[in-house]
Amino acid sequence: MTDDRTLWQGIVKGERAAFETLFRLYSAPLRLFLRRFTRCFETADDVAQETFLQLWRRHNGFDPTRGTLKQYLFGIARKQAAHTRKEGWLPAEKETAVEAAAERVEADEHTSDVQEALARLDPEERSLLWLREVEGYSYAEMADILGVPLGTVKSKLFSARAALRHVWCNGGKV
Amino acid sequence: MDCQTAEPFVSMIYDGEDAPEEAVQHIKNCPACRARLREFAALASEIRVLAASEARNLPPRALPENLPRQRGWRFTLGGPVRVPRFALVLGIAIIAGLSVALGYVERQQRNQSLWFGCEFRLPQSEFTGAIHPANMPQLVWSFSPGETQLEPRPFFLVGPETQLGAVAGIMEIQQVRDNRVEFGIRARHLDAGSASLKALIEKQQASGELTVPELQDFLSNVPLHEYRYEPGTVLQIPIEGGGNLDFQGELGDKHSKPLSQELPLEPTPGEIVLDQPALVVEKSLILRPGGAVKISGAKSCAYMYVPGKGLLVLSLHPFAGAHEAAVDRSAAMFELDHEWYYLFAHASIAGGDRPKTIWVYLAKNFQPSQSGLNWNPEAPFVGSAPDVKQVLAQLKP
Repeated sequence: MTDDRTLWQGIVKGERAAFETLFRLYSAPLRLFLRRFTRCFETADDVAQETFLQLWRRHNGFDPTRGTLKQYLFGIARKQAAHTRKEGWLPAEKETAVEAAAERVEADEHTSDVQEALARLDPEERSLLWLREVEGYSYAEMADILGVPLGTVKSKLFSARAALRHVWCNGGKV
Repeated sequence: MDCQTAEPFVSMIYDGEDAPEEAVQHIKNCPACRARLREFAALASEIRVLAASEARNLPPRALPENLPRQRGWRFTLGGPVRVPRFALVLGIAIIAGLSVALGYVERQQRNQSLWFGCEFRLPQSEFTGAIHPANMPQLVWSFSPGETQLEPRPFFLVGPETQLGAVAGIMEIQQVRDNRVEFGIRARHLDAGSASLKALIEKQQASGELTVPELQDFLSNVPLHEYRYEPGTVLQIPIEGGGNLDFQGELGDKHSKPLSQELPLEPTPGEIVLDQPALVVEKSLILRPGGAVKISGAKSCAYMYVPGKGLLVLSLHPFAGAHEAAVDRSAAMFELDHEWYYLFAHASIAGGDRPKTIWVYLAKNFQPSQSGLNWNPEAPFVGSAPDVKQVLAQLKP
């Protein structure tokens, strides 16, 4: 198992092998997170690719004493996705395509329900729930990734759960 | 402290974060807040299963052949500085979220519907095998105060075929008054190997459950036994054809859940709880046996029958052939024969340390018939046994 520090040193030295290890380890979880954040598979994959390349080009921001490399990567990706959204790289017609693509994902009845319920939340709420429940990040780590105060994570996570529960309840699942 | 004030802390307590003692005490003693905690755990489990499902469908991506040139730190100092602009959006979202939650609480308070839940068990001594489904027939009615003549419900219990046959019946609730439930039950025994039993099993396997019309003819000559039942007590209900059924029921409102669904929110260090588990194997297989089971004690075990995979046995202590599994809240992971297994449940699986080690064993190729169970081999189930050795003994060829 490669530790973050070694991996990072390799990337700083310009070693492709180290960068490929990083990509292999974190590409899938990052793409899944971004799919949830952007609701567009194509955009999510583009943002993920751009995040990795950005980290390769500007390898000056990671501090191993402040968190993990994965956490750092998720933080860059979240900012990149927000920037992408702001710049309007996600055309409205793509939103519809997203939903159609999401429907094609092979899922059982329960996962379809929760997928639909998650889709109705705002991107920040979806991100928080995903980071907490799937990636297992602590409140402090989520605050770092999303760039918000700890108190905001607490209140926002509660409102995300309440909102998801509300949507799910209305679907008759709880 | 009231529910409205305590509600934001439910989320923090679920995540194992510190919360004010007053909120902790309120949530511990409040059925509505406990129900909310359980719902959050259920939602978490569903999100994890969704993640596993999506990971399975993720198309591969590769890095470009030619990576761009790397740039040093000097080049970044002149770059634009992004100022977070989402503070306002965040505030609005929080207010919206709280409004949604408050609206829900208000609606809950207006809609005070009641439920009566009951379960039937064949006397335990009738079971000859250690392995059998925990989810015995359970009927639940929801109704408004004052409502009478609730819709009749069928029930069907299948014991080890060679020993007992089965019991089929219909229960009708006349009314609920003064905290007593007035109901009638007809129940009839079916001999093992009889044509009637075979026909009912076929119908059940075809449609998933039997209906009242399907049982009405079969029970037409069976006397109706009527009761004015005090919830919580155990009744012995005579079965036409011999024997008695153990019956137990509970009355509640929307802030509580029926019977075995009321599992501990956080198991003690000596307990394992499997509540609506979902099993993911190497992100390629998802199975939901449904049901819920709780075990306690050094020798006991819980198990899940997973069609095509076998019987997964879980215990708090090591036993012959078992592997270690790491449990963190409502998720467990372990490796068996170079495959990773993930178990997600609607409530914490084990209490005490985080992560906590439990022990698992997969009896491959287990078939329900091995245990004398007349059970659809395609239908998963969960169950428990007081002694893991009994289960292992039954698994021997």
